[in-house]
Amino acid sequence: MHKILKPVANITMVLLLTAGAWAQKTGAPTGKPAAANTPAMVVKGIVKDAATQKGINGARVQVKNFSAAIADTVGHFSLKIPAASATIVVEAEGFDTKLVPVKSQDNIEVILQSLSQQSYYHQLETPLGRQYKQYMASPAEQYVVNGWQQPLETIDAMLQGRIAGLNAIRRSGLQGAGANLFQGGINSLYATNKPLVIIDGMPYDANDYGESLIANNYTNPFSLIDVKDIDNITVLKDAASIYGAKGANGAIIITTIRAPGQATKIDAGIYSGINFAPTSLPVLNANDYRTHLSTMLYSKGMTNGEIAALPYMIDNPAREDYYTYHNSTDWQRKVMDNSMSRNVYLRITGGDNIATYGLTVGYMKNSGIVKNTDIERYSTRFNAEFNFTEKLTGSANLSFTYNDQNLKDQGIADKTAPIFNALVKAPFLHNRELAADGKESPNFEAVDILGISNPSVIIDNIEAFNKYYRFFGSFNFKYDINKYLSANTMIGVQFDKVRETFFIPSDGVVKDTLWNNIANNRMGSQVKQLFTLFNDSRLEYKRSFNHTHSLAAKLGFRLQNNDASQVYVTTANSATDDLVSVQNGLASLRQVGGSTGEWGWLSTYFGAEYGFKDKWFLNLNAALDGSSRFGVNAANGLNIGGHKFPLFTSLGTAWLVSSEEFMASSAINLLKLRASYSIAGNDDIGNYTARHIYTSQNLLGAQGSVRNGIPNTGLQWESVHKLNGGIDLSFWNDRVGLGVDVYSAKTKNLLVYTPLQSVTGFATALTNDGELQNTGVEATVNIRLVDKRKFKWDISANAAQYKSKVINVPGGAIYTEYAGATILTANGQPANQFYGYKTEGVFVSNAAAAASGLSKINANGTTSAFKGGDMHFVDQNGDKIIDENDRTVIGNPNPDLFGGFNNRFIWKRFELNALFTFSLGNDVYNYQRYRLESQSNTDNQLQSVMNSWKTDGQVTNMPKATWGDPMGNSRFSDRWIEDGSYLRLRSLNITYNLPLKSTAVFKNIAVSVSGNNLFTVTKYLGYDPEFSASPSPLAQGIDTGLDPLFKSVILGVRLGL
Amino acid sequence: MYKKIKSLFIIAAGTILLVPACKKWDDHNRLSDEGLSVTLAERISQQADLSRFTELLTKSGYAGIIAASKNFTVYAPTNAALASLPASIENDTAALKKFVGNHITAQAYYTGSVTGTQRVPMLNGKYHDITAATVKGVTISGKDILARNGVIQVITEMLPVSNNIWEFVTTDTRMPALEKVALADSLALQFLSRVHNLRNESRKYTLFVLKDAGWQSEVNKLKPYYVTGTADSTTNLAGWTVLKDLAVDTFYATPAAIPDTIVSKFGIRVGVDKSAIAATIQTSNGVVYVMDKLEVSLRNKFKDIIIEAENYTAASANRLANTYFRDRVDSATGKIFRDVMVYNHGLAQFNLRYRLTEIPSIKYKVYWMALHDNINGMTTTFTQKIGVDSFNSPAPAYVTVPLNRYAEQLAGEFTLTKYRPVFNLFLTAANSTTATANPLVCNYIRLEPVF
Repeated sequence: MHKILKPVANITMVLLLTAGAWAQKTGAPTGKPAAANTPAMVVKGIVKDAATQKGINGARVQVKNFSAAIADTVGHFSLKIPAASATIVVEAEGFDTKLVPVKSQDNIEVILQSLSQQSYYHQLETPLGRQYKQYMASPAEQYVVNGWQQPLETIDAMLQGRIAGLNAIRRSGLQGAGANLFQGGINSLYATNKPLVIIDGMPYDANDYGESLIANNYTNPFSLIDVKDIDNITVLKDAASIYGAKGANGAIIITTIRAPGQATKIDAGIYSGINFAPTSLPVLNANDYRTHLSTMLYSKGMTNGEIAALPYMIDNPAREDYYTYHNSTDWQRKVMDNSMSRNVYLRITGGDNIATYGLTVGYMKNSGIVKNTDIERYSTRFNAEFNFTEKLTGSANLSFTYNDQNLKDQGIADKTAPIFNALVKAPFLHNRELAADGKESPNFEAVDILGISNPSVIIDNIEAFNKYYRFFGSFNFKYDINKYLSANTMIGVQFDKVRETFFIPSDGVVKDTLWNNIANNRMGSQVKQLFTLFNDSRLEYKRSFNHTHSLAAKLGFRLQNNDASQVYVTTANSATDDLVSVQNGLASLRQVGGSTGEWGWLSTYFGAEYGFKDKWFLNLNAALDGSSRFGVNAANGLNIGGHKFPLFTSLGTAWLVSSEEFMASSAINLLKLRASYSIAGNDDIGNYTARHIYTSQNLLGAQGSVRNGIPNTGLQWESVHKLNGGIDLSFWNDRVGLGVDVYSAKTKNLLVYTPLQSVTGFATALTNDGELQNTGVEATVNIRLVDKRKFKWDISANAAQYKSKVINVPGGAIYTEYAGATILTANGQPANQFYGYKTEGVFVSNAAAAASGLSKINANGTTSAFKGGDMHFVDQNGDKIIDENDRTVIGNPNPDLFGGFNNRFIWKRFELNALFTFSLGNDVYNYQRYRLESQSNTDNQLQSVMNSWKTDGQVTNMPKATWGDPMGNSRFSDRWIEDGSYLRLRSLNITYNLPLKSTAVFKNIAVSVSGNNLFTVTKYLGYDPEFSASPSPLAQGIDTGLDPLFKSVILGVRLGL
Repeated sequence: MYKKIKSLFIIAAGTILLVPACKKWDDHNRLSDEGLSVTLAERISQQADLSRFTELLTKSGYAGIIAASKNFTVYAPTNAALASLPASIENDTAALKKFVGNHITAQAYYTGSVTGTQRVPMLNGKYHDITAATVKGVTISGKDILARNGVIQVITEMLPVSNNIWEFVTTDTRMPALEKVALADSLALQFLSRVHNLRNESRKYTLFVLKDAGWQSEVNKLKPYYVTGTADSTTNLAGWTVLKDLAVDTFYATPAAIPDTIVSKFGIRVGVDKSAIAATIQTSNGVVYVMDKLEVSLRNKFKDIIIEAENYTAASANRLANTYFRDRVDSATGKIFRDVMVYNHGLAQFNLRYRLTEIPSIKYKVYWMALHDNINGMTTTFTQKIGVDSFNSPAPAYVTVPLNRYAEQLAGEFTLTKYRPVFNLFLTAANSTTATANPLVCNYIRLEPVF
């Protein structure tokens, strides 16, 4: 894979160097005087189609707020310009708009490219309004969403491979699970790393308020949004100072559908698809498993006779239980299966000169590859824009979505996760009871003789539902005070409710042990609610002076009030498995709990963009933030009325070198240098952690309150200081666009758990004593490789790299335990490295083991020497004892390089998009393989255990099978660390637009086939190398066995009326 | 044209990229030994030198069994080793099955994992002792040939099926006739259940058998102590008494390994005169020594009978409220003992009864250890007695229990004229109802045979 990417990297390098050389060569003064501000200059020129090199009939040419003209049939135009340094805007139907600086030329040739995916001439949605990308001083990228081509994606997962530096790691293959987003590496250890998400001007809450009752499930707010509702997405990569204490990780600004015009337009989409269950992991078959089991039981200490007397070892068909124990069941196929997806979507846009609207209605049902899991979504959205009076305008953005999910436990849930149980279940068993003659009963088998749940019972009889809805709506009013100044206000609410229920039956599922009882069956339910009120009021000023200076400024304040609550109740032991709801459980086993959270955010902000002659740009942002979360004794921030208000600022500047006159004859279409420095905060420090709080405590039946930790009233926001430098380049008639950004960010006041002295009664307290550094490079390249009238080939690629380095954490190092792994966060090193034992293969013989002299100390203080067949752990400190002092860094879950590249082919009426995503050099801890190769109990294992060491001289990488693994051969070591690199055909879409007569009922009909994850190249030994068990950077790269990602194919028709 | 290029590109890219994806598990799961991919039956048939054994496996039906998905170790004799296999075995299906089964065990024993000597069951029910290098003493020449469901150990000698000790006793002509009558016939069940189960293949035993003369003299020597109503039962009991000490569950492979004295399961010390060993016969579960004589002295044969006084069978009346089980320290030895003391029971001649079994007809001296440690502040002594068959038998007489005496004390003697399958012994208090006169106290009673 490195080889494939190398040429791309080389090209990038060459381009960069060339550009640098150009800049240097042309940077010298040419002696030509700058053109004077002569009024009413005229420039002539021609507008050509890049594909045909012919003139474009009717191309619009204008200088904003000054003059406009339309090209003639062969593309010739003549336009008055205010100054020789003016920039003319050239637009034509079906082409990318282009901004052309005149640079004192009399005659200019403008070559327009047909609509491309990314261009510096596109306008981006920024906090200060729409802005041409070429005029932006801070790093930002846009992704224009075509949801019709990826109908079943969620927004977060769809961003994967689209934006350089935005690492979207999909959580799991659970439908609607989405992705964890990391923008520009790691900025925080314990606070969020997720960029702020703004939808239609209002922050979209994407936090999790309390864990799911259903093991390792994540209720993803982005699953509420049909991607076809999305118009475009802009990612601000700087620390977004204008969002103050919420901008530390940048921001994602999402704009939903607008009416493109006043004509009524109806679009309907009907989609149906298949999700393909992943290839089974190669676990032992019934025969090999029985052999393995026999070895394990012998190792446990059972005698030959005892083993031979076990019912599954007796091959006598006359026995009553012969058929119970002599099957060959592919359990993975019992819990995973191909499944269907369906999606119906209707969009109506239109309006008149008073109001325009966009209305969408959608229904989706997408079944999971784990049987009996699905998501069903009913969504509606209504966006409208009103012209109340000439000066007063307004808009409304309202959406309501209801999700209904059938779930199963996943990940580390040994008793109830279907996939885990299917992997370890003995293949010689059957999922249904079998009679003495082998006839199958409709009844499911109970928990088996080896103590494993029946996966079919988990699939059929465990109930786990999630019902989830959200109203997200806002009204925006704008009053134009004069031509340049306007007042705006937005009021919005979001109301969000999650209801979860589960029931785990007693038959067929291993019983759970509660603190005071054995749970035969278990049940529970949970309700989570969030209510957010948001107001954003501002003055906006936008003016251009003499076509030389342009200024856009905003001054405003935001107010957000949030109220979240969570209530759950779990109980157990209802009388029968038919009584599934929580009131039927035993009152004595009932556990009721919950939490409430109320917090407020007040932000006064200012943003300004200044442009000089469309060549020099300056961008200044500032926000003064107050939050109920900040400690009153925080060390930093302005003190206003006893509360702390931090000030976040940013300054960005850009020089559009290509607009300079000395570049007039250059073949470079665009060259821009950017630099920005930004400071933004992270307020994800907990609602009440900076306060004295009490928590309820039960002591021998008496309920009371106790102090919840040592309060740190000095607790404050984390602040990210980010320095970014960038270069934007476009040449070959804008057929090649290149952008490179380099950044260095420092997170100061990093939230850390500082160890306390034991005399306090608490182990740790949250403080701001850490510091983290994060540097990286991000690059994007867009190439129109083939540009013919009937065939176009666009390649857009992006890649990014980041390196995090811990500057300071308390005690110099933090060891985090997760899924058997130890994650090291140590000063001077990356934030999240795997810390464990290094191995040097398996001792081939007792003699070899004895020669090494290694041993381990047991829990009771005795010493055991390693023998033949044990793992040879590297004795780092040379004391011949393998203990925790021999641990070292064995892996790093952060990729060396990640990104994506998209190929778009347009041939006649066909369009093909193929997005490949890749992640290189990231290490993965394969917890699932650890469970399936540790050979320490009766669990079924991978076929690789057939290689386990048996006899002296046998060279193998699989240690011997030993009951209970007394030598710790399966401890957290580099045995389980794998290269998680992958290259994936992330999405493929072929769309055919049917040729229709102009008299036809339909305006357009498009037929499409989409595929997701169609193939993945990886050496990773698991279902799939991509998963993300938690949003924390400390839990990345750990395969806990969540439902794997899968392939899917979707057929669709889009009809336009 | 472009479409063709496009599809070609996609197919080519797909093929190149998919190949490594399929291979990843192949690499990881590649077997480190080619034998691991085939069953034992196939693996054996692949070995040229094991072709004869392969034939026998097929003929005996074991080929199918060792193809099953369980673990086996096959001790496979080479063709040369099987050359001497008698045709009688090969042609007898049952015998052949037994013979082949003698080479297969139902677990994988790799030479590296066997420590010391392990006794493992073969599929024919026999057990072999295996070490890292040998099976049943035969050296393993081709070690650890791996297969999917077990391991093959090649041996250059075959492992013929041998009888176990009991089969020797019951069927072998070398078994002396007189002892055979006693052991295999009249006392068989009693011996197998009370002494050692010599049919058990999983352990190894040593059995001493006496030639007829030696047997007869031993039995005759013991007859006087088993006086009963009939001569037969006297002979039987005497025979049993000789027999029960002749088998031990220790394997003395050679005469040299036998110690001077062995201790039987019943604690009887038997001196072995190695010069009297007439024959040594190895069996599948041990060894049999045919002895000219094996004399056990009477004093060794008849051990003291020790009765823990607190373990009485019954009391003459319910006086549990007055009965004390005391933990006392023996001032002489420093050890803790538990005795019984009945005080203030208010009955004349209150007594405790002890039920003894299988008491030979000998004269016994009775000793007891009775500690009168100023019971309840008493400074006076009291008397108590042993009752034979009845609590107030005339003899032995009452004996005074002195103050604070930790040593044994002679409490009289009695003679049994007949062997007693069941025999009652009593500890009787003084014929008084006064608390200070009639306490009963005893740690133990010892009956010492007198010849």
